[in-house]
Amino acid sequence: MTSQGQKNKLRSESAKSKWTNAEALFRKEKRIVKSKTDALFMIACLFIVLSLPWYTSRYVIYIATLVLINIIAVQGLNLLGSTGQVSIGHGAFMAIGAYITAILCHTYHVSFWIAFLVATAITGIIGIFIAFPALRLKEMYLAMVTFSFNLILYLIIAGLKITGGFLGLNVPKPRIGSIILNTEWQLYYLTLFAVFLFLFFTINLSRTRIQRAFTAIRVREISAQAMGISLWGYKTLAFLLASIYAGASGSLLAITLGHITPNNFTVITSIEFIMMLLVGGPGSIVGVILGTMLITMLPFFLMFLTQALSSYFPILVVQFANLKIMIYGVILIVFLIYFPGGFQGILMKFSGYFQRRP
Amino acid sequence: VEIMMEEIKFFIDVCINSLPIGSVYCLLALGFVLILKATRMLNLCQGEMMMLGAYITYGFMQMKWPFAVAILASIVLNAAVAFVVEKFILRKVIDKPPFVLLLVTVGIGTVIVGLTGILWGVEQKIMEIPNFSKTVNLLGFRMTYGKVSIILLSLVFIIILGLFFKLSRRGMAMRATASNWSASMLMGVNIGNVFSASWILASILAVFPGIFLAKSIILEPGISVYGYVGLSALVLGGMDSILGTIVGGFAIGIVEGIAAIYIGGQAKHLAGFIVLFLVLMVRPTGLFGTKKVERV
Repeated sequence: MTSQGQKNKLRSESAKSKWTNAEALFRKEKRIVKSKTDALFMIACLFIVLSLPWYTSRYVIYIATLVLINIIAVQGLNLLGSTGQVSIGHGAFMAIGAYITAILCHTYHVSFWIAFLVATAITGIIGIFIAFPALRLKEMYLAMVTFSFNLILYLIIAGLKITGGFLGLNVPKPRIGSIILNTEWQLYYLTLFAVFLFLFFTINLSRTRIQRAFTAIRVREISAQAMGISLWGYKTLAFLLASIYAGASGSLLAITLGHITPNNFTVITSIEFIMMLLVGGPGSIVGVILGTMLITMLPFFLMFLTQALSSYFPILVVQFANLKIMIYGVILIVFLIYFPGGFQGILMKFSGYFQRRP
Repeated sequence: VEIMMEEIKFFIDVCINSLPIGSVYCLLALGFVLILKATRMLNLCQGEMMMLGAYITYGFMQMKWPFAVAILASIVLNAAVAFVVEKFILRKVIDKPPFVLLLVTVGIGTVIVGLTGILWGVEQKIMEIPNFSKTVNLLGFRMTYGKVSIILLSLVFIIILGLFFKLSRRGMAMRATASNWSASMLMGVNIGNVFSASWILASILAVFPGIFLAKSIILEPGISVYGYVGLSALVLGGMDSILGTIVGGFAIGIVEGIAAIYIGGQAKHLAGFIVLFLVLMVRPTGLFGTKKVERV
């Protein structure tokens, strides 16, 4: 009798210690800064990002701003992708955000800050509307819905009078009090602030119930539903978040470019976003940032390369646009076939060589 | 009553005039269906294949080849391109999820666009085809030879393909592959050959609408957008039905014609995509598609 009791006690104790162990692991897993190297890496990145305008040219700051804007949009796409849903129409949401900002600022002379909020909110609402078919459709069909949404929106924007048709709209620069934010570095810091906000939100979201529900839906919808996760609610939420991200980035893009036309938001833009996601490695925040940097800087890098080689191969200058398109296609195909994990996958593989065996 | 008769006659005229473009969509949708049935992938580069076929024909015509020979040569070349693309790129990812396959075809499409741009330039070209704009009287409607031939071609292709799938042994092998890969492999079907055959057939089907569009509208890389309208014909007809492609293609053509006449402006281009969007929202299986049941 006593031995039985002792055994029971022992068993419960060992279970308890196991439990606390698991909890500790979970806590560690939940932390944003997991180790000292992580902290050092983050501080280094922060320093580089903050000090960039001090030692680079205006052109580089402009490119960096575009990278930051794309980071916001692609993080939204990443959130949507973490529920297993795919969208080839992310550029359309960006277009909505950009055009609402442009119309409010240009035609109705509203302050940018209000226009930014309104644009983000309206894009979110439209995202919910697009989410309704998403509750019935999967993979290929969903891709087609979002794709056709992008095609339709492009034609509508090009055809309407209020959007300026193919000529586009001028967007006035934002102002704080009497200061007009019209230099590159001011816009860079503004965008950087927005990126910090959105990244903070994304990283925190990845530790919550919501992100776990997203993952459960991605892995298997029916078992997720059986666990009491509302498919309707979470899929709509994913679309809402993705379109809010896209709307905010579109709004920022409008003021950074200063002049937007429908050709900034074609189907190619949406495919570029997917490329950023795939090249970076879907599902990982750091990977997505890397992928966005690579793909956004690619055309500028190619342009630089062409100019450097133009005296030896003058044909490169003539065929620049075509070659660029081809390189994009080749990158998309190569990454899909050979590196499905994207850049993050390559890094993981690479770091695996240096790790001791478990 | 007189006015109403006039209206109705006008409406019928509009419908008849939009039959040629409808048959273009029909042929494109047929290409989509062939590939979709055999390999379960949505081939988003059908429009680009179409454009490539038109450009190759144009290239041979520039070299003073006769029109018929140029078409034959472009069919052969297009089929070769499709064969290479399928065999060496898509065969590697055939077991991945459909979305990955779709993106790979998008990538192939952009490569084709870049390639045609390098070979022929991006500026608009005009194709000269003998006897294309000669008119004939058919049951009281005046039509050009080009329009009549594209309508006839689409009907002929659909009948031939329908008979091929119903009657011939290879057609049966393709149907078997469509319904179950592993079972048909066990029954001795070489499914690799079936994949190649479906791609080659689809690329051949893409040549004719390409030439028609290049002649009747303009030859430029932008005509690959019509591939997406073909996509909406596919979805309207049902994703896996050959009968559906006829109905879907002609229906989209007529809808576009009506939108162009009665609304005007950009509405013509919008109509096809709005139909695509609405059909996917309301009835994703289309008119003749089979419904899929999902199990846990």
